[in-house]
Amino acid sequence: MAGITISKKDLESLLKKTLSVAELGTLLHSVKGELKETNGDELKIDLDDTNRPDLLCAEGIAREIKYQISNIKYQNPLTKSKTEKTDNEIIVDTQLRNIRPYIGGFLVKGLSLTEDGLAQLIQTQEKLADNYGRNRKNISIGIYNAEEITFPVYYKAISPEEKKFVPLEFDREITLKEILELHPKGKEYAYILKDFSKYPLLEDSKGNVLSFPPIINSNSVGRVQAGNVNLFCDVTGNNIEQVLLIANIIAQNLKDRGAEIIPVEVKYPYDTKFGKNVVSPYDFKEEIKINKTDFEKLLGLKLEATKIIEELDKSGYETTFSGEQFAITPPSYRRDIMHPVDVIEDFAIRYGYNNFEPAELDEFTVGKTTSVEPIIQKLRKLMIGAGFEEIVSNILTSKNQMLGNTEPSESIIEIENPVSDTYSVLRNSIVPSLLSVESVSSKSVYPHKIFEIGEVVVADSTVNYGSRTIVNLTALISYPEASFSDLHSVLDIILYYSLPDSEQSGSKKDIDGIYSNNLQKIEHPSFIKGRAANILVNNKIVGIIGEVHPQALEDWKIRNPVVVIELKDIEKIFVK
Amino acid sequence: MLENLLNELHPLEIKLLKENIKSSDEEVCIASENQGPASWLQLKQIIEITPQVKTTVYLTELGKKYLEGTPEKKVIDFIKEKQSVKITDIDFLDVEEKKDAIKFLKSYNIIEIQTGGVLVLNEADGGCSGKIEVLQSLIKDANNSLLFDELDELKKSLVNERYKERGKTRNIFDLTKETTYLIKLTEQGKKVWEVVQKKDFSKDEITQLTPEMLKDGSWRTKHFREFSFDIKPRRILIGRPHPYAEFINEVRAKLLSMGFCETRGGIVETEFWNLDALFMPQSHPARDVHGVYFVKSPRYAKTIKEEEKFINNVSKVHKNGGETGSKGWGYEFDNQQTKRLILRSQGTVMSARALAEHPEPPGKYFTIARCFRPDDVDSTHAPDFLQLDGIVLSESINFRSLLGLLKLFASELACAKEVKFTPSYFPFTEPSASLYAKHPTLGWVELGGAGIFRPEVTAPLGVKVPVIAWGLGLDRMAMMALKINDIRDFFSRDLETMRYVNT
Repeated sequence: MAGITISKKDLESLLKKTLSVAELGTLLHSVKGELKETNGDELKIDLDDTNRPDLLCAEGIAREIKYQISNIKYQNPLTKSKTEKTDNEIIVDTQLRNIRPYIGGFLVKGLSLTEDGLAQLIQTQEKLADNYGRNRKNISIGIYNAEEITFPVYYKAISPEEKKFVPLEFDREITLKEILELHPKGKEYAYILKDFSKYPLLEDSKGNVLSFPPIINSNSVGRVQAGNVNLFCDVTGNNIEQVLLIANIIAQNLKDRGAEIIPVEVKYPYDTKFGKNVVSPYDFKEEIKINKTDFEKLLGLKLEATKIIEELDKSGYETTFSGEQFAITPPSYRRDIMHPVDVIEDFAIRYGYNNFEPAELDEFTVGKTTSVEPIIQKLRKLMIGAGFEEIVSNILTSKNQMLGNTEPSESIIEIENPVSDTYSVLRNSIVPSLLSVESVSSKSVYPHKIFEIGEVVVADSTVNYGSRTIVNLTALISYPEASFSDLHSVLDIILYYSLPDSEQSGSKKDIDGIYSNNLQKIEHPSFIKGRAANILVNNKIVGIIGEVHPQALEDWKIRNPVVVIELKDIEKIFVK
Repeated sequence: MLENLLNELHPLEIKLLKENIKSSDEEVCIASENQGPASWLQLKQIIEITPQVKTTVYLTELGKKYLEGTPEKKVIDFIKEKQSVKITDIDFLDVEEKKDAIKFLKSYNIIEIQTGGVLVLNEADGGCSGKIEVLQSLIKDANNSLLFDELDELKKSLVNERYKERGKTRNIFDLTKETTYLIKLTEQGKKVWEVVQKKDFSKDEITQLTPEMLKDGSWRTKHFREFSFDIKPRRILIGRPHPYAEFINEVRAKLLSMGFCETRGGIVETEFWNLDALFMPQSHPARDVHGVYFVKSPRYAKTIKEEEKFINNVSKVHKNGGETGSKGWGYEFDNQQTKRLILRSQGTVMSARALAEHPEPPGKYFTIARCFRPDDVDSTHAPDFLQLDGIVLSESINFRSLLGLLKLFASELACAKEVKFTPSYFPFTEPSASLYAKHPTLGWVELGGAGIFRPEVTAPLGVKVPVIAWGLGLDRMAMMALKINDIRDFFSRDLETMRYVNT
């Protein structure tokens, strides 16, 4: 998801129509957008589709919703004639191959750049570089006053102190190295170049510096102002497809604002996916073939070919139909079409999701839950019957809360990139969750009898993922006379009703105290000495029970005695 | 009316009326053990209760010591006895007491200090020395406890002086306040009382039926006292399911009834299942749709044995679309990064796993999975949250069946009467849709997202038919169903608050 802010006035001038906020909200759904906020002329829009950089601007949104208002075909796509020969060249230095290998660019003629238009142009440039281009790492964009540039332009790699120029917002010449150290943008983006001994530089044939990609423009050629008529735009990056796509988007945007786009040819000393000489705006020439039945099968509709063509036209596709098959070329500002299903979705959106008649599923299947679920539900009922109140807690917790717990701390799975310390580890026991309830419930009427059945994650170096998610049952009793025997009785009756027959050590008829011999006294810092035990079933340790140590109660600020029990991995204990 | 009142009298109430109230106009003070029955009688409007605060004066330890004389009294007596006394002659008091006593006596002009430290009684003390005498007699009386309110003004002020204004260790008196209750019959009560005085409440009246009575049949000859139902019952604590857990169970039951099979998985996942198998490229803005939590240690799964069957297909589909007719993302798949361990960030992981395990149609699967994303916690974002995700595999399904299923969920799970669909984006579905339900007060509320799995997701897992996939945010649905505005209320730490949640 990406958020953009655009001017309503600007959008309306591109659409040549004024719209109410409500109308706009509805129209934005068709670009997977949501109007989050309006503030005077400002529209704050969230866009869902991270694979559509062309929509991160007023021009892109206008292109997509225009047809819905005017019901005419989008008239203004870049034409295929752009592959023609051009006299404007960018010559690429072979050393850039391992630094920032790709560049695209074009000239803009006859643009009447208003303040609004300039503001939108700069916002688009930043959105594309920061959002799509991952903070300029993959994409950066430069726009220049073309009047002051003499072609060919050279894209080269130089040593950090080889050349000086005045960067934007500075009044003196400094070296590239100094830019990274002194200029705010230099400091912000220096990380991109930290592994290189030479830096990219763009200069014209007279040696005038255009920019130091991906950091900063020069203060002379690289200063664009409202009123500029002729511009030069470049895009640099590490992936030639992304570079050319972004160049296409910006070219299309400026064309939509009435400018003429003049292509530029980039000459590489090395091979690229698209050859050594690449003209931009670039025509990807990708035609996709889709059968009419593919549309019909996926959407569950009977369709006329003319209807499909008509709707796809509205999305900027060029479509021809022959032999029950469509040949479809997406507009040059889109590279998100990977598979026919992408085109079919575009058609479905134009068709209108709410115009489809929902259909019922017709195949019979039998529902079935998981193997652990029945025992979870059985234990819940038993615990509630025994008078316990159920608790639901979060699994993410703080390391602090887990320490001094009944499980060793090395068995905690920690998060490498937590948002806060409060939520930085996965609980490996439910005991702290219940103690934290107690710590804030001293004013709640006693006795407190609470339980939780839930997931915990325990580290286990013997398994592939290094940890296991298991389901535990944990219960706690607290009141002035709470003691070990309170929960011992609960344990006994729970085991009686839940263990598979074969695992019961006592006689089924004897319901009274049949598991009293299945406790193994342990010493544990969290419990009072002599009042804590491992719980054994079939000679295997399945849990722990005990009276919580007064020191632990003090640490938790709990003012009544507490006794707890935890049965670990109930699936293993109780499922046959 | 009078009959009912008489029939419902509890033995303790009868006892109170008979034994404590001697005449119908009398106002009586009741003992604390009678407060219970008295309050029942008040509820029945038989008596009126007036609380009265009684302050009693007691002696402190120091006060008891002063029974034989306060330091001031001792000094005066000493001067009277010896006629001429120097300060240094007083050896029967400790230093502090002596200092206090002399200071007190001098400030009230009872004594004068002449040159050489000679102490002389001042004859014209204006009766102040009398105070010392009064205090002494007060101490004597207080030894057997005194009622403060019965004292005259002088004595009251002396008590207060020696109670509050001196330091704790210098207190002579201690005051305790007790509330006593005076009861008086109401007009109606007088009639009840008259009858009670005359009536013989013999042992034949039964309050509690006992096993013995049943055994020997003695209940036959006795009379059951009738009960009054006006008295508020005592609150009891009960075992109770958590409303959120109950909501989840209802959702589960509905899915099972619709023929879906439930699946479950671990919280720690690999990037392979959580992202790669869902056609989210390893380095691309599409992955920014959601951040993930990375596991600190271990960082990687040991092997990708479990995934071996699929990893080549997934890697190809990312690179060039494999045999799906897709052009893919166009990058070299990283076999190490795919093993990176993370916390499950979306329930859709379980859908990918279900497909890998059961690629043959027909199939309907769902999961209720705890998911984790690095968001700040607020009223709508819990630190971890539950997602309801599911899939349907079938030869015959299409976009219309997807919309039909979503409509069914909205009405079955959220009781929504009106639904709408909007275009949406998920890297793993195409077409994709968001489901909105009309809430009576909140308006249109987004319930979740859905779509038809891309062939790039299904084909590498060996699935040859279309697959509908959907994910609904259970927290939001539960908030709507249980009318809760803050998601954190579900995970409240305070037991009493939870007890008041009534759904």
